[in-house]
Amino acid sequence: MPTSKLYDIAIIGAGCVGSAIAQRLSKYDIKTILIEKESDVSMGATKANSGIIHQGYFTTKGSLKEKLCLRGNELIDEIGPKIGVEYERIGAIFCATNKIEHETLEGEYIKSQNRGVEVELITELSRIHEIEPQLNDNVITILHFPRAGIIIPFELTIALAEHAMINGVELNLEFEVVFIKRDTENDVFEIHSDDGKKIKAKTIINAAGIYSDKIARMVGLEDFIIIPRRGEYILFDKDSLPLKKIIFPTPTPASKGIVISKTVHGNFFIGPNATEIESKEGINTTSIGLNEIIAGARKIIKNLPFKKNITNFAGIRASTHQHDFIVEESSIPQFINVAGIDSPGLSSSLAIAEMVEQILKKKCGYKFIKKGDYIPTRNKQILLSDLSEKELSEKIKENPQWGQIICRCEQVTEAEIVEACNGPIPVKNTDMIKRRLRPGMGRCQGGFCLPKVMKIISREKDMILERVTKTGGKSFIVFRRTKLLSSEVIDKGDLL
Amino acid sequence: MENIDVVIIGGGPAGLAAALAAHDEGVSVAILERDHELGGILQQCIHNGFGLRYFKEELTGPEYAQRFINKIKESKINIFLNIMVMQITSEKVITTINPKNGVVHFKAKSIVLGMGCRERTRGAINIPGTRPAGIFPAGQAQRFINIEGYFPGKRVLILGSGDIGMIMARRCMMEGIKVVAVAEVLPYPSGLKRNQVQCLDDYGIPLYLRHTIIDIRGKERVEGVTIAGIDEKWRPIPGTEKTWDVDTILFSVGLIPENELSSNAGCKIASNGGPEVDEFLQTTVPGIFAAGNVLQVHDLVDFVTFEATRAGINAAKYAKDELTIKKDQKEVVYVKPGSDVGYVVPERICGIKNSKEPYGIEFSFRVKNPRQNIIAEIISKGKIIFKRKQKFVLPSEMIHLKVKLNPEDVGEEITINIIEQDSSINVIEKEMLEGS
Amino acid sequence: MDEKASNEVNEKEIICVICPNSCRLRVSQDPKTKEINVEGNLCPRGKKYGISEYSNPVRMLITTMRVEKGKLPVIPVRSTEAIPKSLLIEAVKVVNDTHCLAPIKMGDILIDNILNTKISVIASRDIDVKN
Repeated sequence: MPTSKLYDIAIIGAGCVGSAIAQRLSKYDIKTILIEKESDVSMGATKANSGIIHQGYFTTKGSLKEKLCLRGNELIDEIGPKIGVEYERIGAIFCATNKIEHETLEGEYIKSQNRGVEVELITELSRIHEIEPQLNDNVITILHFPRAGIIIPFELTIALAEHAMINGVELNLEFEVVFIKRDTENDVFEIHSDDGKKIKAKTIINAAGIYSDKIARMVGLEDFIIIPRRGEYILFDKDSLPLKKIIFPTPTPASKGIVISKTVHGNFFIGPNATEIESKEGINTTSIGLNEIIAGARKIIKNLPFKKNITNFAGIRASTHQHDFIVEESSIPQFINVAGIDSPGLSSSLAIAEMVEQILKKKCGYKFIKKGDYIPTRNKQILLSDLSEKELSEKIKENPQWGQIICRCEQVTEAEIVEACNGPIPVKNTDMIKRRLRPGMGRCQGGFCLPKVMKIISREKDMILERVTKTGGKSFIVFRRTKLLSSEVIDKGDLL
Repeated sequence: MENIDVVIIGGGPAGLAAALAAHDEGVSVAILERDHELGGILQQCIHNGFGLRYFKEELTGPEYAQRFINKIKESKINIFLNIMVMQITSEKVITTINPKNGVVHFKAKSIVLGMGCRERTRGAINIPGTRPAGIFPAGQAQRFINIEGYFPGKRVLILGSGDIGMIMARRCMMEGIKVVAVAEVLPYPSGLKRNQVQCLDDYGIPLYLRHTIIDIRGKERVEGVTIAGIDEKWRPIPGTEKTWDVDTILFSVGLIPENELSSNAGCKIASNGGPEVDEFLQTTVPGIFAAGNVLQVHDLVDFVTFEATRAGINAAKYAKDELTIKKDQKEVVYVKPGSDVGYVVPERICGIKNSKEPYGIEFSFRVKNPRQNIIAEIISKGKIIFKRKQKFVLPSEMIHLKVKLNPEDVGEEITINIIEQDSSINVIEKEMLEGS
Repeated sequence: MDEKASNEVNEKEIICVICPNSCRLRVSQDPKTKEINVEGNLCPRGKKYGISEYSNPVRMLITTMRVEKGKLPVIPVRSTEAIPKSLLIEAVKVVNDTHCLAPIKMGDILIDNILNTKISVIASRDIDVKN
């Protein structure tokens, strides 16, 4: 094995938190590597959550959750436009249907005012229904946070990771950390993968989400354990319900309850429930869970359009018994834990990155010298929907692939898919294309476009169709040709 | 801008028949097809059983399509392939894109919508479990096997006993893919008996009626599936679970008319998912007609051909200004699905009130439940104005009623009912329930 | 005794698929006269179906064949008429081991006299040569 390069900082875990840290560090003259066990960024807790930019509500006074959520909410305006990620501040409302709930909202109203947050408590029924006409008639009070917003978590994460890469951060995908050796003589960590690869770094930032307790144990830390919690969701078709706001019930101490919210692409979802589960990979949905979220949604809104649901999915949360985020240098020098990042983790991610920067500066001795060649912005990929007819005509003249629609539900062209295939993060599977451009996200769920997307990946990445996967690993989509010509070599790899 | 009398959206069976019919009326016709060839879904339906009504012989899907394609190639019909229609306006301006010519606009005098349908997905029916590779809509698996020539898996469970599901079960067995079972939520198979016998029984594939999938396992590729019996409220019954190790699950759980373009053009969409039409198969936007699965999901392609032929003729007549329809809403008679009827096409009749003589109309509809010894009746102004006896009706089979109604018998609304001659027993349902 | 035993072996239950009645036919063959007896049918068409399903059940052979140099990798094919059900799987294997060369026209004979049945396997559609 060649002598491995020495990095200053290795971030383990390329979820929204790991990627936000990478993006933040990429500004400086620090050799950083982002390590991820999956085939893409944003594959853990980030992949499937509510996608809400919260406004600090219902957090404990003085907690990191409160502080970082509020700061994260501000930072998105600074960073979002620079890295080309879409978000919308549509505002969130909490709904009370009885006196006790009303009192809870009143209490939170005062707390929020004390936090200096823009907030409004509304009891006038006509105004309630003006703000959100889809609410049930039994809603008597709403608490309105106009600066809450919506964002697609994996779009944010991809944008952060790509911006980091443009500025020199390395991304090492499909690198599953199995053990970490501390070389105390040289003050270096050796990070080993399951397939014998090795990365050396002076500092480790453990942002491994659901596996952050496992990573911490690799250096002998046992101060927290992650309790996986599953949240299930149902996603509905575009324009099937004209929602204006992110809608919450009145939270209980146990959970924020079933949310109903539109997405930046015009779909809407209901969910999540919260079930503690044993397996860190337990991302299945259940009949009980789906019924639970349907019942929850029906309590708050009138017209759940039942024939318009297009998919259901489950996400996983990395909770701890501490009930607050853990963002600190651990008892092991140069080993920073960023763990227990459950809700409002996505909202806080940019602020967590800022806090990690402070820790690196104050405790780990890093000098933050700006790179001379730092590129401050990442251009969003140009999409069909961004183009006028005239612009599109010119594009097609230059490159006929702009005229080939591959996904009709989301209107994605071959040219866009080819560009995504050759983007900063090497695209290898159909879900990676789906997260970047949305073919397969629509109402037909890939019924029409999947074979076409597979063929494009196969051509662009020069691999046989049988090797194209859905999500990496052994998630092969087709097995082999039904009939072979004598000239064709049979692929002997056991694909299924 | 290309000016064309009649533009046909979609080159599947509906589009092909509509194009030929319009062309025979002497107008200029163009077919806009998004695929690289004509034929639509028929090209992947390689089994036989097509054409008995229309050609009076049994053909495979590709043969049925090829006969129309050959005729079209001999005609003056303009064929545009690899072209995607992005938008249709109520003024009948069609915006398309294609790799060769870029953005192209067509201005039509009339349009026939023939976009067909798409498959209902696993997500739309809330089937729980994980989301690994190996879960396919049955039609997509059919495409992989019959067009692309790839195995979508080795061991399969199929949910849904519609004709596509059962035909795919046989097709899988033919290619050496093991089908462990077919599960169906209804108490009876939702496809034809013939397919049950020749696609499942022939190969010893068990059919579990009143069962659904309650869990899908596997992180990367499907590893297993569990089905369970369901009670009358469709809740899984504990203790009835059956589990298989499979690598593939096919969903054959219904088809949905594909009407995003129609809806954006301003066509009103009816409860069955297709555009609301009158007796000329004209949508609520004058000059835009619809036929085939975009209008209503058909059981036999032959009926698509008949329906699309009518739409093509009417569209051509409209283009020639020969189709005179009174637009006065007071003159419209609305058609309502009554007892045990799911939907009726057409939803409204425009010409009957101004007719001096008995007015011919063709209704097509589906029943909600299998029934035996029924009467199909048409009611208006509180009176039965038409009735027909029928021995059997099944939800999987479309019913066609060709009737002549006296204008004076008809009020503002007519209702179509299915009633049992002897309502004390329902033999088919009873037998099927026992069978399960 | 012997006769009775052979009678039991001989009887088959066949579901008629001619119409939605779906009669459950009990079909048996008289060991002496070789006459086939159908019970449970409501009409003569059922009897005819029962006899044919009992004595010589046949099915259409429907599958795909690999194409060389074609616009598509496989072509749908069918037998010109139904072949004995017992030969179906073997016949599919024969088709799987055969390939054809584009261009192909609908109706082209791709396999003549498959498994000595005097029945051919023909193309279900045209396939052009790949550019």
